[in-house]
Amino acid sequence: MKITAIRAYPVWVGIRTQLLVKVETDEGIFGWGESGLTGREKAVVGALEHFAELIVGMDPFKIGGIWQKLYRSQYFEGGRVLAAAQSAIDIALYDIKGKALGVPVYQLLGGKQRDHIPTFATTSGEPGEAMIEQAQMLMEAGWTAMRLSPSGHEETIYEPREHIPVTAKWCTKAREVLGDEVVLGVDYHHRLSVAEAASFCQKMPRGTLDFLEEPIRDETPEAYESLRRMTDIPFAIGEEFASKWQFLPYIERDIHQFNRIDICNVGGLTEAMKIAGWSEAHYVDMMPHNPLGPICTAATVHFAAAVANFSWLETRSSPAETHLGFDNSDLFPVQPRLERAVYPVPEAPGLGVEVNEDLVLKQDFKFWNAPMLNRRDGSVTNW
Amino acid sequence: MKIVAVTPYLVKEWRTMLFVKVETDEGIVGIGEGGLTSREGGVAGIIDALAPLLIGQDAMRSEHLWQLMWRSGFHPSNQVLAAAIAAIDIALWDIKGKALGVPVYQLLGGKVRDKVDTYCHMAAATPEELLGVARQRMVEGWNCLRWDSGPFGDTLYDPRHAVDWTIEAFRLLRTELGPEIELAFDAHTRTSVPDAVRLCRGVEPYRPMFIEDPLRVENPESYRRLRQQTAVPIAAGEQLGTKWQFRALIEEELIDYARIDMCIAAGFTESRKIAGWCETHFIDVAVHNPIGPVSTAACLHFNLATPNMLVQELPRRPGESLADVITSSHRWEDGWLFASDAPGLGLEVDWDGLARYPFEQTSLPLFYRQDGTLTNW
Repeated sequence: MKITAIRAYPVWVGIRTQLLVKVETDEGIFGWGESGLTGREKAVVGALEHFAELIVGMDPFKIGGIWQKLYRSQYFEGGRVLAAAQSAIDIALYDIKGKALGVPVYQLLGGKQRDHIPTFATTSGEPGEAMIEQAQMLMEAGWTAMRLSPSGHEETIYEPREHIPVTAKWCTKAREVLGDEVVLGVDYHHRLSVAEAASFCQKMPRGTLDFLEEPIRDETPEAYESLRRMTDIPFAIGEEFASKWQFLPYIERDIHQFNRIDICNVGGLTEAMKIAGWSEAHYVDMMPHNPLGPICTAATVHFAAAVANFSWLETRSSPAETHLGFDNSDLFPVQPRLERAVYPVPEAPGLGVEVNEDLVLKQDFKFWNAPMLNRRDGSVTNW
Repeated sequence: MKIVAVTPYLVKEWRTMLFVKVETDEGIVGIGEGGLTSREGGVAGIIDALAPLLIGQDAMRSEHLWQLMWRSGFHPSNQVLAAAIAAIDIALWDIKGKALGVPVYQLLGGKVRDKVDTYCHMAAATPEELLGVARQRMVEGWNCLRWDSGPFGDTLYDPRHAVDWTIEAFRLLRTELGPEIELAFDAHTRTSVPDAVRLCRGVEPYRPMFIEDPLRVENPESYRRLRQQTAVPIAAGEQLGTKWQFRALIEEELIDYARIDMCIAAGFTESRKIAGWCETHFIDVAVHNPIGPVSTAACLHFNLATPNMLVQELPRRPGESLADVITSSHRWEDGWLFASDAPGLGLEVDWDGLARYPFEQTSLPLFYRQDGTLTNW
């Protein structure tokens, strides 16, 4: 069997973009993958054109060999654009291999550890009574773990110090109302400085939050280490990393307690399995990032099925977030579907995803960019 | 597909070996090998204790069964348990490959290389005799040669003479054989840090491929003192049973080459997690493979799929060990191992025929110093 083509489809699904990648072979078997670099699809499409030159004609079964070739075949290795492109191809190759051998992808990763995949949901909307009611609704629907909403930005202005006390107050309130058992976290989406993140943590009684996700930017692990000393809330970090090397300090120095790996950004299943294997050595559970489309969900569900050290998979398909539309059924007629708060482990060969390619081909590309925020003094601040 | 039986087999041919037979309800049978030389009885005992946990389980769930075997006994049993799990895990991957109709390397990500470089064992009483053995091996086609000999006869080990011998052996072989041939020495944990430093510095001009196991491994951090004082590549890790035991050596970059023994370090499942993290630290794998043909086949599949790999130890080429009862479909040519595309490990086994090689409890050599103290062999 030989790879005959790589097709990149930047599409609009629900409220934003996804980048779907199809790898075709000369035996009619094809695989689907997805890239995670939302908002920079054109760059990844360009990278995929370069990669097509390298791997068309190759045996798709050589997944590890293709990984090495794509990663090391030029001088300037790695980085998020190339890793996102590589991730999509790697996932598609696993889809192909699963279909060719007649087994679900998890069988190619060591077989299943679990019969279903627990998920965590996310509340939408501003912190307040409505958020707490939404959390109660999620608990009634079966969720035992969830992210609450941090207080958000107005239009384009975001001043962390105005929002930190609001978020802290409503997290504290939520914990009082919802009880001790439910797992609660907040994703601060790398908006804060170390000092701001420490202040936020210190405004809540111990035990309010079970995890704090991405409070600060990740370029300097030592900054996370200093924050680690200022709070006892466990950290969930990792969605931004584009290789095992980026994970190295976080795993080896025990900086994070939950690994938020993104299969569509980190280098695919090949790289993700190596990271999961070493996270096991440090007793860190995988809590994968999954805010993209059904192909990402499917790849991550198979990963979640096969990995021993696992906590929850992110889902954006809960009743709290029906406005997002990332899991559009017309575009993806076959995809993992939530049963209450869990994904069943799929048994169809490959990833278990079907894409309506006719619908995909009808789309015109539309740019999406993340919100761009400023402080009141006009300076750039993170979204 | 359910596991219906798990049976250890102990044999002795050119050395003692432990195999395990895992049978399924679909008739597919897998073979594995356990590596704890001279303690095979202990490993077989654990295999018997694990068997009831495995009967009735889905044979494809290799990672799940690994977790079950490692964590169900509560008390950690390190290498003995790890070697038992290794044997069973290897057999499960053999079964998996056969069930899906592919060689095991296809289940590890496919080939990253077409052939695997290998090194042979050499032994001699003097450096001159070693030179003769080396010439013979080179004629046979080997690209890499390794010895662990010294002036120790049966039991007397004197560190100073042993180090002198080794330095002279390197000097002689490199001078007479030229710059191309790879030369490695296995110190087999015999040396102290000062002796290892003198050894490594003494052989540095002769470009060793690596010096193996210069130190005992109970305290891996001791490698730091050695590494600060020599530039010679260091290989170690063959005694280790799990990723946890490898952690310091890899994370602190105390070794250049990881001597993972798949038949001790809990099989394909654990070995690939170790190798995956070695890649992060630019440490290549040089598997420990001193035992039987099943270990050789498992290592071959593993090495074909592992990007960060240096060389495979190969004391017996395909067909040179238990050839009448374990038939290998792989071949060796000019120093390289090539895998067939037979499903699973690529081995045919005559299980009843193994009885022609009855096991004998065999102790390893015991070395003593001049003053009578026990020293490592």
